[in-house]
Amino acid sequence: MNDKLSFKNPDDLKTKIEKLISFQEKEDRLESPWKAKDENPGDPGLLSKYAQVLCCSFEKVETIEQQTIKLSQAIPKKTHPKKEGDSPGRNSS
Amino acid sequence: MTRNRPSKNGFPLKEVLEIKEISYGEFPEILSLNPRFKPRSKKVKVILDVRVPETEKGNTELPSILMKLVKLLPSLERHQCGEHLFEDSKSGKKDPHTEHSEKITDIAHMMEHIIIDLQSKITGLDSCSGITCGYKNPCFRFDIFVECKDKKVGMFSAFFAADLLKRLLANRSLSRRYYALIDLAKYLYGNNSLRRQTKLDPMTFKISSELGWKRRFVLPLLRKLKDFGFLNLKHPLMT
Repeated sequence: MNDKLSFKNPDDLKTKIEKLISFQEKEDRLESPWKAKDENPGDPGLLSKYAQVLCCSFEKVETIEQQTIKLSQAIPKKTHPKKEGDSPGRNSS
Repeated sequence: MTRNRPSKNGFPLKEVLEIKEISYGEFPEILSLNPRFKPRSKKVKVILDVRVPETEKGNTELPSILMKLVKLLPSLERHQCGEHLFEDSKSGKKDPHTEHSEKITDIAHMMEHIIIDLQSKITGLDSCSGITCGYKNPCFRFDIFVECKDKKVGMFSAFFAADLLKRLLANRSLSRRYYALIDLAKYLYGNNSLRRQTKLDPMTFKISSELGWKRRFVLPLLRKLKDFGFLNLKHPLMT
């Protein structure tokens, strides 16, 4: 029923996602050719395959809680020697 | 054909990130992994491979990448990280202390934050939570779960985040198109009738006239939105 399809974007991002057979309804005419697979399993073995879990959240109104740190702090600052070709003007904007 | 496009001072684009699968559902089994997950909230799940060669000497300075990301997505600075909810030290298959392991984990973690921020921005969510789960084996694979109220926005956010990160890891700059793509996705999300449009020309015309953007600027954005699963446009130039 489900076909594994290969998706490629212009930057060569290759992606396999599930394409589901969809039946167009009058009320819901827009059907993307790319659909995320609906999945509602209770997979008891899922967690055992993980070595680590990082959790994050975003709130428009900030709350202060213990055990939380800013994303910018989570990524450790490392200093690397400046490479040739690294110029301040090449940043995004 | 997939080209292994070389990048200037960075990773070959093909090597860095690969989305293996995107799913959408409640995933009750992971509810306890983030205390901020809302009960019965829908989530987008992204299975992601992060392949950064251990010998790579490209631009891997993640803080500088983060700074570039914050320019595009300023609310990233307000995200909170509850680091390392658990770490299975008994497995012995993943060594979190090696620089390489930390690097790929940081990249996957950034991907999660971008997805959170993008889909919060587009759908106007007041809060959104997620987790990044690193596999024991293979150690370069991650499951990312992010609360998401719209499946297509979730899928768009995942593709966009991967595209964005690959670009930054390859030390390439972000064009105005990236900013516009987010604005356009947000605009279309709030304009359901236009979003349901399946023909390119009337959609392009409407967006051009309403946003004051040139049609030749809108066209590639719409193609990108279609590529990223956000739209279902039909056009001879689109495959």
